[in-house]
Amino acid sequence: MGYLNKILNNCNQVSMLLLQAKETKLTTKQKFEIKFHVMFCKCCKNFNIQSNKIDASLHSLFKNFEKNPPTKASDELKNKLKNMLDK
Amino acid sequence: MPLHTLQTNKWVDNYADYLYALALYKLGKKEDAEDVVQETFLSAYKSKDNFRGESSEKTWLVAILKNKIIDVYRKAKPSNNFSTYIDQTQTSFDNAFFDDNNYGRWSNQISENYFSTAADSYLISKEFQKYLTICIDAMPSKLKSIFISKYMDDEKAENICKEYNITPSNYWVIIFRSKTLLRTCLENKGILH
Repeated sequence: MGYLNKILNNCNQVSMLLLQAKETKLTTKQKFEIKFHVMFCKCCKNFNIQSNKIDASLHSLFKNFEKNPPTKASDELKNKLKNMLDK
Repeated sequence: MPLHTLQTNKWVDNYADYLYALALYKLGKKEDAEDVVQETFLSAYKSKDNFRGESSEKTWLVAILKNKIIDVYRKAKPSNNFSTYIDQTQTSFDNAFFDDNNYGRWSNQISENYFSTAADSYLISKEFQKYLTICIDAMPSKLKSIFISKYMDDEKAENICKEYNITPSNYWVIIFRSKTLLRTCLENKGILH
């Protein structure tokens, strides 16, 4: 029962695997553990859904980053750089 | 006139803000970001004759910037590196979110009431993105730098590991913690959708 308890209840491990699964190849055992766990765990299921929602929002947020950087270099730094490049 | 001329007199106006914002996200400290931007322009200027025009001026500058950032993390003292940070904060992270007496279940329920059913249009709305920005800014700088590299450049895990001198397993711990903090922060803002 130890093993089953562990995969049924270890949200800490499973939720991290859920993120990894999007980018890396998991072992068959890991895939099974996720599937089995999520079948019974609403929290991890919701974590995964919300994580995907956050990803979509992040991508759209950073699309504008280049055109519209959230912070600007100070005028002091810019002047210093201009002087440096002028030499 | 050579085919690929660099317009060094326009560098500061065209790229300083972008390079600075990028460096600040990746390094977390204003002073470090300013130093790195300065070094980037200086070494780009010195090696401008090597510019082959295979990429755009901007891409070329960003590549130099990233190498400078790699140097910063390479030179970081062991007391200030990522694995030390992860080890030192492991217990407080686990205690904050998981119930160790119960095999590591989430301590608090994750309810589907919180943006699980949010429409795509809401996710890209000004309101949601405002909260997202606030919650990103609230993240510890060590987590933030790596988390943002993943999403901003859509960079592969192995490149980020190289850039920050971290192991893949530390990388995933950092991504997981960042996501957990971000999710909880958004939930605490009471975003119901």
